[in-house]
Amino acid sequence: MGGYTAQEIYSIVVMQSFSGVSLLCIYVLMGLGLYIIFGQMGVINMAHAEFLVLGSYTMCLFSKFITESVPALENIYVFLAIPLSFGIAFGVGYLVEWFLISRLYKRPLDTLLATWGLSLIMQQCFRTFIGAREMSADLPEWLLGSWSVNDSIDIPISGLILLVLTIFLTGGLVLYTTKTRMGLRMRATTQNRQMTGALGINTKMTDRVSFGIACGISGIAGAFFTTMASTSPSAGTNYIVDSFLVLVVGGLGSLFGLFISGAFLALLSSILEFFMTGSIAKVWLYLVIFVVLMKFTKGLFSDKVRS
Amino acid sequence: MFCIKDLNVSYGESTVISSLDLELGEGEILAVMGRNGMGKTTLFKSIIGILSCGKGSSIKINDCELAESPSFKRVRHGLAYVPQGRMIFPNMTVKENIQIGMDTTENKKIPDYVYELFPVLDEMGKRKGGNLSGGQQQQLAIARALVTEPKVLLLDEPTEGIQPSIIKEMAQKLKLIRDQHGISIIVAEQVLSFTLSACDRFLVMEGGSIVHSSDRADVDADKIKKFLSV
Repeated sequence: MGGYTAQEIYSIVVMQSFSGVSLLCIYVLMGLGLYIIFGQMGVINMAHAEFLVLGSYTMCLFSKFITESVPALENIYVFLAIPLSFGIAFGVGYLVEWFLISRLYKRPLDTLLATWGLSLIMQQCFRTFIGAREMSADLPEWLLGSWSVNDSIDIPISGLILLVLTIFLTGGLVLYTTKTRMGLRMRATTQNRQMTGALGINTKMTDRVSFGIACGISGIAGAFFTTMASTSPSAGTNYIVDSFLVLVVGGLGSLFGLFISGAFLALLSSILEFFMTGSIAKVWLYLVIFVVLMKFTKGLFSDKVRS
Repeated sequence: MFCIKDLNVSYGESTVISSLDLELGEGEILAVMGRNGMGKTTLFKSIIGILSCGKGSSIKINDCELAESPSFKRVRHGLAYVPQGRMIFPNMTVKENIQIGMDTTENKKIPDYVYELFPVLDEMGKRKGGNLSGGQQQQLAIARALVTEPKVLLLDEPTEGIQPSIIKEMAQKLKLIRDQHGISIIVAEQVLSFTLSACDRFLVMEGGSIVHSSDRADVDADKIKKFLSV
């Protein structure tokens, strides 16, 4: 293939796989939020990517604040920025659910339109209040380094941390949805809102918290997005379609499917982009997705129940 | 103990229940009978709060007014509901379906009496609710309602789609639930044999009103049958 030796192809695949890890993590983190909002709550949130951007801006602005005002924390501020990004995105998401989404359940087309409008409003707010120019976070030195496995393979530290964080959050979400009362409430509410209320559960509050958590996770994805690229008001739009695809290919109700599908698509995308132009690689990627969805119409790992 | 006064329920312009009064004593099992479309399910949905009641309606449990409260508050005051068609959560396991009912209680472990009443639920704890048979789903729906620790249990057509042998067993279980837990039960039904073997009092609904009432001692099965025949 292209005059490469087998050894070179092996190194390329390994290196491209590692470079795809960060992309995988962003897909999965975005997908985790969509898993709750789209997969569980049935809401098509076109503004989900803007919560990623909100998280990115939180990271950038917080890094500037730390650099200028508390330089002693420069090396560790990233660990403070993650919960901060989560908290701000959670708060905004909570309010969005309360004032907008809660009025639109069971009206998917209206939700699509309303959240698309919200996406435009949020993008304009970013332009007006933060600025239209691209912005980057001042990342600590250690986060920019890499770990040399051997002469030909270097793993970026930021990618490793992002991978650990993604595994941690995915595991956390699995435990949250299956082992906690709030997680059970969320799953029950999304399956049958009326019946869940008739079991003594405040479904409105459950919806708000669930939506907030999903947006918060997207905020965390955004915070780490700044380790890969600079951010801008419309930076999230590049990821929203792919994130939806990851979720749909994995199967709407399956976190395991989300992770596998995210890994598969991110690594395939990363490897294809090495051998061909970005747009042709995208065509091949979508072709693969098309074939998978033709064969598995409900995704690779959808729940199968009798009724 | 449980009392409904002047209940009115409408779907838009169409009144389905008008000026309905109903009282339920402690530990009583009351049958609400009637043909399809006579307002039984609407009555239950309005009691639990899925449908809102008209102005002036009153639903009281131990003198606490619930007519304006949302569903979840009514459950916290002691109402529990097993809907027609069961409405168990199909993508959650049997155990999770029961646990979700315990959300309003302090219990962290599923009470033993649930599995004593419905042993099959223990055997199938890890199976998805949607993969159970109709009878098993009905048992699960009753168990899920029971663990909310209700004072009044509303059962909407529990025999629908259930085989006769299980219907008989279900009548015995209802009496057991009443005897062991002191729960009052209202059952909406069309199967007279089931209500005759389980209930203490019988009401018949027609056109959204109660048109016949009798105690177990003076029940006239033939008269009720006439109301139920199409």
